[in-house]
Amino acid sequence: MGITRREFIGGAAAAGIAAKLGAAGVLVSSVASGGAAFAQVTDYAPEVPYYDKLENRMIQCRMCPKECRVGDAERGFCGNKENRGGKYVTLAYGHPCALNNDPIEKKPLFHFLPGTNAISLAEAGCNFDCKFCQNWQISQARPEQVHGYDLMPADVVALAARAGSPTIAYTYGEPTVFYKSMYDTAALGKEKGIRSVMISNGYINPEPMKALCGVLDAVKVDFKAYSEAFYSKQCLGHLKPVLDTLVLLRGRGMWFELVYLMIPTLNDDPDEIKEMAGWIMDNLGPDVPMHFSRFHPQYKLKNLQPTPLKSLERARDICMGAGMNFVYIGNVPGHAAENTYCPNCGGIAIKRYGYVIQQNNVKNGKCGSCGYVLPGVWI
Amino acid sequence: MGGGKKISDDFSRREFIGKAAGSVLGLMGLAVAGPAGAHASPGVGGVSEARTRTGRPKVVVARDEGIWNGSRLDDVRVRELVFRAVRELSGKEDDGQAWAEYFDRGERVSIKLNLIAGRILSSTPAVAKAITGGIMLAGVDGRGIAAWDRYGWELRVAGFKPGRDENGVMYTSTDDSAVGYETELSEWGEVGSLVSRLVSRFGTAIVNVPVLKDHDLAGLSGALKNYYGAINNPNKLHENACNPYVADLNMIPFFKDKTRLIICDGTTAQYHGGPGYKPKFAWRFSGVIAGTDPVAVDTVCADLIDRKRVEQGLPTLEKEGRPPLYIRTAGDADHRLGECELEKIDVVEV
Repeated sequence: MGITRREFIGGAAAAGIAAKLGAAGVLVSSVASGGAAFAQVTDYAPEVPYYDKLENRMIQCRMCPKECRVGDAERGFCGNKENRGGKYVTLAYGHPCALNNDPIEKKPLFHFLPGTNAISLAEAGCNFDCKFCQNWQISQARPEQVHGYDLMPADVVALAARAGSPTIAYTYGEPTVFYKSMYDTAALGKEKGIRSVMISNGYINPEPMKALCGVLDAVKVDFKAYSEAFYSKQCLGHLKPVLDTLVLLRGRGMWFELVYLMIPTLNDDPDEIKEMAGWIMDNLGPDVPMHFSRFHPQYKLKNLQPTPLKSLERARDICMGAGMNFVYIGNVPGHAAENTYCPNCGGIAIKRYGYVIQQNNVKNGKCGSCGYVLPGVWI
Repeated sequence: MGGGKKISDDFSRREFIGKAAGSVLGLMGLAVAGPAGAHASPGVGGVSEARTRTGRPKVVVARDEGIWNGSRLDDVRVRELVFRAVRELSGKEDDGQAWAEYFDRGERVSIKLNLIAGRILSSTPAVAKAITGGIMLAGVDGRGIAAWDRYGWELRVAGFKPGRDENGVMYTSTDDSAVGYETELSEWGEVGSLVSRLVSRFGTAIVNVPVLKDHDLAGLSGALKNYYGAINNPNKLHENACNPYVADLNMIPFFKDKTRLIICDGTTAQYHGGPGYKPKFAWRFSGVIAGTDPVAVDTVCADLIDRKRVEQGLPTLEKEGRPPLYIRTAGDADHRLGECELEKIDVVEV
């Protein structure tokens, strides 16, 4: 499945991968472990934006709230960026380690061009270390530890066009750590009429996020929990910067949706859900979609059971009761809460089964039954 | 100790490949054990633990300014320096007996170098060669020895030639296509990492060869921290001055149970601005620091760094607000990896 440099010579890159992807094809990322060839990522390592140079060739990253101080020859927490003699560079530019042509519903973005696909890619690394990470083999890896594709921003945009996908999604890991690739690709895509969405933990500083707002079309933010203790202990991050990002997105008019991976005993407390719903209503309004997603044991949390359905349904009830209009249940294919219901007439605006759209009654952004204007980005 | 068959009897290339079907380490000619690390000899705290008659851990600081021949190291003098340290550590006057205190004939020895800082401030080929020579004196076949760090390019930059030397010793790296990391997490405390298969599968014993140097975040880059170069995610373990991460990492059985000997390369050392090489803070310590207790070795190394810092008019690591906290954690009741009180260590200078 690997794509060699040779395939790209003569402009064959996008065509070659597009042929492999097909309409809804998948190129699965793979982790280089024992016996696998390691990626060569050190040949092109451009300087990243948003960092300060300190004495003795140290640097301080300003990309995310971690603001890592990184000595010469060392890497930041994310593992994607390295200090080379006082210059902070990204190691995986043009080398995504995962590449798929996903339904946009898989992100999940339910109010953004439903029924379309997104060329979805990731580079290795993350600025969190969530004990429950569902993609830890790439998010917690360094770029050289995973297989990579040779795919520069122009190739990604060309690939999306050839695959007939209107969107590029930066996802799987944490796009904040491969900011430069994401920004360059999104900017180029914008010129070519290809949209971009960021699937993120929201742990990014305001300045880089503001700049991104100029080239992105939507953001999905993982709302890990409404608890600082959860963020610090389970994710090695903090809650407040994530809330700040959400408020920033709201202020900028960026379309965004929230995902809440509900983990038994750790972030399923009804009182905490109620507090979160109150904060969302106060700061983001009733129309931001929330997806309560079922947890499956992974990475460092293999000792817990998958989320009971009743926990997800209870959380949904709490949020709907607080006034939120679009609350979904995810990772439970066939559940009625996968559908979009019109807040005005209660009719089904979009009927889903998993990632498949079974029925779409949204017409020009309005409910097909009553004409109510539905929030989102529609075809 | 001893009594084992020659490693070549057990692990000829052809036989090995047959035994370890699918093993990529086997394909490169490196014998492997299962990831459980079935090894015959106890490691830290076992028969090879160096203590003085008082029962206190012993750390040997051996120095010789004559190891330098201009800007180059004299291999013969370095060998004598390292051997002197091991003789003193073991209490044996005979070199063969001294090294045999730490290694059985049939073992496979994994030598973890520290090559992050380039040619001048990395574990040196001269010290590595002296160590491999000593291990072979203990009866270990050269083909049962691998010296390594993370990347092949680091080996080359530091002056090593990847591949086997004239004695069969393999110089290699985790990023070699035939090596890699385990795919199952090893976890202890706050650490969850994938371990280099040169630790988990190849080595029945490890020689830890750090460099005597300052670390801007952790305070010290010594023996305990050197194992950051043996896992997939060291970048996740640098917050809070690497504490308790360094100590927790060393609790993982692959490291705790297999570490047999520590020889810190102090031919060139650095008292500030590490881990990268900064010429203005580097000096020729012209020595090695040897021990079997990694906490005691690091405690002594931190003291040596502090002494040099004071001599140069800099505050101690403690006064500068970046003491190597993880050393004390490694010595606490939850870890018990060794002795972290300098006054409870017998430091022998030779």
